[in-house]
Amino acid sequence: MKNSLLKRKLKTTSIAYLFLAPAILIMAIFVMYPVLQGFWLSFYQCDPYSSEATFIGWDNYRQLIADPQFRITLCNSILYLIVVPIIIILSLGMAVLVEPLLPGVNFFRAAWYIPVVTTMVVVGVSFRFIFSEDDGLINEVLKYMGIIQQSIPWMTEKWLVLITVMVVTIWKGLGYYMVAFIAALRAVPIEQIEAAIVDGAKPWSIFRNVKLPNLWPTITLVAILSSIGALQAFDEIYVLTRGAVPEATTLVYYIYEMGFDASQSSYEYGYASAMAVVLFFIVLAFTALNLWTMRKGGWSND
Amino acid sequence: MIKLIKLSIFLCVMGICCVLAGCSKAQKRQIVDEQGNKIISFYTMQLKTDFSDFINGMISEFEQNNPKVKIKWIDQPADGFETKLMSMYSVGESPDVINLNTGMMLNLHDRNLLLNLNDYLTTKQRSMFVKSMIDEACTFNGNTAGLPWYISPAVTMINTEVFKKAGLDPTHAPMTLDELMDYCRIIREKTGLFGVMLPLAENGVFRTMILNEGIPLTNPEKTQAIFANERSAEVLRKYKNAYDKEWIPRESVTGKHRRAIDMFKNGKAAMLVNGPQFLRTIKTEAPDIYTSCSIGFTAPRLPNYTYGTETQAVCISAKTAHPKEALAFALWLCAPKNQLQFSHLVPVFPSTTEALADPYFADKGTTPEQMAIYIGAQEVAKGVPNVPTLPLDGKLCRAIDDMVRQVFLRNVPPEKALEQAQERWNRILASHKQKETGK
Repeated sequence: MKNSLLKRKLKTTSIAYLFLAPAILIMAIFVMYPVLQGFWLSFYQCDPYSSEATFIGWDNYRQLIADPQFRITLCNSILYLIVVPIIIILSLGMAVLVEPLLPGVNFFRAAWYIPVVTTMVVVGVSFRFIFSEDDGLINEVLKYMGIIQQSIPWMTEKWLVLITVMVVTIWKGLGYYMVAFIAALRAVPIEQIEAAIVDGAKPWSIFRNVKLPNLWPTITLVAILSSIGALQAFDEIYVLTRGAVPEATTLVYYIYEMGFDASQSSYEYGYASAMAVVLFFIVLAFTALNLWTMRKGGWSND
Repeated sequence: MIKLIKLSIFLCVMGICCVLAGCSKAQKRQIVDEQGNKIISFYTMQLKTDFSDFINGMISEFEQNNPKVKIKWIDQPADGFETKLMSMYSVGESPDVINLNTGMMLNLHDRNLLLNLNDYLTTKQRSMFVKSMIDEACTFNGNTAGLPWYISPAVTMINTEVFKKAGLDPTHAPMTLDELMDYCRIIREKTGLFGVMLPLAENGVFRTMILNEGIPLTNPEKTQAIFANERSAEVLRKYKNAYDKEWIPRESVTGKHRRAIDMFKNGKAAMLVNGPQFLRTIKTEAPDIYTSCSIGFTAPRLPNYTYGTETQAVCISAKTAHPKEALAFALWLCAPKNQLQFSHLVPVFPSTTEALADPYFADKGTTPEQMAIYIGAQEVAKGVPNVPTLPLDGKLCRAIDDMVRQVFLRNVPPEKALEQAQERWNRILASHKQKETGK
């Protein structure tokens, strides 16, 4: 009896793994292998024109500890996490506004989702037009209204550049997370809301005490996704500033510059890989922290 | 269930097969075809769209004259060209004849990946080129790494309408730095527009600004940077003053040359300093600006220099199986007749003395394009490329760009920023020297 149960369990498990096999294979080739290759490369100095690589031990890591640009971009990447709470609050607020099926609500849903499906190049061109210092929309309007005499350095002053880039990240990401929150709001048990109404609860009280606790898993998920996205911010900087203000770029952009930017002719694959390894562990730590918070909040994937 | 398991196994096997197929050694590039013809692969940078007929014409004529040689032309976009080349070299499949700019040529030469043409070129063949173009722009440490194919020196394009509004003479482009700054101030004050946008922190452009004032970047041996001095600081101060007073655009430090073209095209900047080939873009996208365009020598300038010269060369891979045929084809591309034909298609300039002596380049003309051809040819004939070819050019450029950003965006005193940039240059040059001696 026990033996047949074991056999059955084994059969079920092997079938499950067989079904998973194609996905595991693809992940192994396109995700795990490059990750491992990155770890390996971080201990080598590579010549991009030959397949030769010289083992240099921890030299790349020593170099990055001494590299001020690495420290600046790492700090900027961590600072970039400011966008996470803003994204959560705004996208949740938008979801609450458009969740009820009121007339015309679909227009707002679509309008707020458009930035998600707009390509980053178009976004970059549009925002450059808005924030350009010499003939940008904002500066021109403010000058016309007599509010400013000199252009606001949106694209040259470190903090303003970071804020501008963060605005683009937030604007582009809101719609995506809004959809997740709409789905979560729809999943709140109607009985709980009705019971609260019967008990005389006000809308704010219903939201705070009934809906919000039910939204906790989605909030955590959004926090994880948006913090990973924030730590890996690249496209916004690439299309808006192209790293023209090095003090206002992120770690991923610096990795790109060191590894692949033709104008820099660096092609320092080993050094770029060492930075990527550091970033990998930071993202891993943030994800673990978020998952731990999620579990503490009572959410499980069962 | 059994069917599903079978399907799953099938998918796994297919996946593994695909991966193994991808991992298997790529098919070796053909060097001789079935008829015994030698195959020469020819790589160019972004020429197919506009010059397909011209290049194909040259190829068929060459093949007719050399019946045992076949040319396989592959054109790549400029973006990612070097990366593509790297991967080809790293798997031992480099093309035979390659169109390279000076920076890439130097990168490949440093790794001994280009054929040293000293061993193949006859004196007669060598003497057909403008001396400085082959000796300065294509020769490193005494090795000739390529043949200069075409050149595009910068000229100044002037929006005559804006000049007239500002009360300036549109036939006179500013010559000195002080004059250029004066023009920018007058244009800004009288019209509210900008005089010029120079992308000051793009690909080490500021090296040119320093050289234009007659300040050398390195010692004659090119082993030590010597540009950190009071004269360079003064140049930086003059540009910074114009930047702070908004006589030149704020985007001069963050924008690239494309932005400079846009500003000229949109009528927001009165001058554009760039290669005359961009007149084509202006002609199509801003015909009004084009018709009111006048051309002048590059500003600011020294009388004996060729400014902003971008040399495009044809090089031969050191790994080619047919060096003689590859050289014959490279020389054919640079033949005066072909260079002249190319110049008629687009305002780029030949590197051979015979082609440059053609009356086409002596005609002052009335159209902006013809004016640019006349002025550009005079610059080329003078023949000294103003930016010396140095190893690890990308890193040196980065140091210069960072210096500009420090001064303009962080208000670091010019003397200090120059000192730091010079130290970086010396470290880079020393590391290259060390690598070379360790070879």
